[in-house]
Amino acid sequence: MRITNGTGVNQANVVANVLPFMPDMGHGTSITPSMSANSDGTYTVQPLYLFMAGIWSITFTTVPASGPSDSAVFFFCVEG
Amino acid sequence: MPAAVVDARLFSLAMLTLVACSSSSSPTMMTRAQLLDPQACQGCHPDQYSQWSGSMHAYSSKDPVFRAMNQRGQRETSGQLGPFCVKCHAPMAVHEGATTDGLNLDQLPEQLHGVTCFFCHSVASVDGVHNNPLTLASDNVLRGSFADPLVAGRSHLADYSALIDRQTAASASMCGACHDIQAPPGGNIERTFQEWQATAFPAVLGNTCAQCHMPQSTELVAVAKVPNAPLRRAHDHSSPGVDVALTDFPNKPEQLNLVQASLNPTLQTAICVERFAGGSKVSLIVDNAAAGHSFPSGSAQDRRAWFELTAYVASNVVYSSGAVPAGTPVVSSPDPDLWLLRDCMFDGTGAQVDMFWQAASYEGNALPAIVTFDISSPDFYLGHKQRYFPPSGSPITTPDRITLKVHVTPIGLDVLDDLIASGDLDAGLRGLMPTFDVGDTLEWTPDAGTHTYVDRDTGGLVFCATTTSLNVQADKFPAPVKTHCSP
Repeated sequence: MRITNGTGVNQANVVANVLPFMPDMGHGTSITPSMSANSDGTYTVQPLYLFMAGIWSITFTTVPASGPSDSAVFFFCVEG
Repeated sequence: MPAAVVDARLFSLAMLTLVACSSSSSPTMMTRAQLLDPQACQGCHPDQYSQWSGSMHAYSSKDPVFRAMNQRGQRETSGQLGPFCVKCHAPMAVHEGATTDGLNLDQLPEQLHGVTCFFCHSVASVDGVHNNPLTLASDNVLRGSFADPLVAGRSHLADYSALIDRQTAASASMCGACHDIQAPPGGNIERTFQEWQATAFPAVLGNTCAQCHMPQSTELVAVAKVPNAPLRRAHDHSSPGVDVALTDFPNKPEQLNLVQASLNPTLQTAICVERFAGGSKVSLIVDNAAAGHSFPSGSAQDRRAWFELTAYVASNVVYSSGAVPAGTPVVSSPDPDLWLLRDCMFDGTGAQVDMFWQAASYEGNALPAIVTFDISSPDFYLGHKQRYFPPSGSPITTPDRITLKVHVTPIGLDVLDDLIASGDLDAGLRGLMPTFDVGDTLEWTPDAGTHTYVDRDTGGLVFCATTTSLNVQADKFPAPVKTHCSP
């Protein structure tokens, strides 16, 4: 995953919580993913174990040292 | 085995492969005898064959626990058990008239062992809800989930069937035919299909058996290794549940990993602590959030699932429940607070019994699956089960750390010991029965207890630790309690 600012510049040292959730089913997963920084400025999120068919939302919520937090949600459809 | 027999088998296999995967424009259609043999499928469907060959479907008639129970059951019922077991453990052997009781399986050819390709892919109708009420077609057409099966160049007839289509609820009824068992005296000893029917999963947005137990590929692939095969989503035939092979069998490490991967996301858990009366009330909240059936399920009378909770002050244990030494049957634990999930069986007089052929009724305390996807429904959180340690809710010495492990043994060691004592099971297999941990160890500390709710009874604030997205503020219901069962 790549995290950039408004001008497209990679953002380093970002800490974020990652929450997989199935909005149609009202539950998440007991497998908790974590995000780690790579040397090239990207991040790896793992394990993302979307074990059930259906719509999954993956919410990334930044945990800044100071200032406001931000979040982004990605949706995935796991075909049955 | 004589060399001539080996040679003949190799020759036969080579011929079948040629038959099945011929690139000529007019391939030879396989005979029924050829279709019966899973090895004949291997030629064109090597991935599916490899996955199936390590599955419990392939192992079902080899399983020494099945063999031991069937042998003992036949003896203790003077043969009245008949084909009860083998109808699901080796259905083709029964269908072909090769066995009536499963006691002669070692004398039967390999293609009649296990739940074979031909068996599942030949089902024409489901005529009941338990004990294998399946009717097989006699047309040699192999059913599948693809509406447009390949026509040109194939070596067997093929057609679409909703019973094989994981997108349809009908497919679950086919799985349920053998994953729902009523014992001869009437006890509903295995209820996986019934459990699934009672959940939210059969509804729109839900999932069928195969959608979890036979995941499909993310890429389009050729599901048959034949020229011009259309690209499909392939379905994994490893079919992990919780049982594993005890004896030598293909793909054992892979099966263990698949079972573990299936178990890991099943439960959501929280450890909760409330300061109370000079100590702390400690509870667990557990939600069977991911299984489309109860936890545990299947032969729940043989399953043993339990919670190991340990509370510490510094390195000193101030409270412990569910700590069972390796190799010790959990049912023999003297722990009065043990939270053990298992079914108990009773005969017609209400006396507790150990073997399924005696079972007229049962009592269970499995964790139910989710019954609605409507988060506004009062039933949405019915699966949130809370259990205090000790069960009275009495406070314990305030800990500074608590750990939780959830264990499940597919077949309890007490069950194996019973079969060993009766002379029906090799004692050497006992040590091969695994116990799985369900998910990672959960740890509560004051710092980790960041999820809070108010105890409606005391008004106190409860501090919970969870790493599995469990909503501790939502409704909670007492964990199911067995009243007639020991332990």
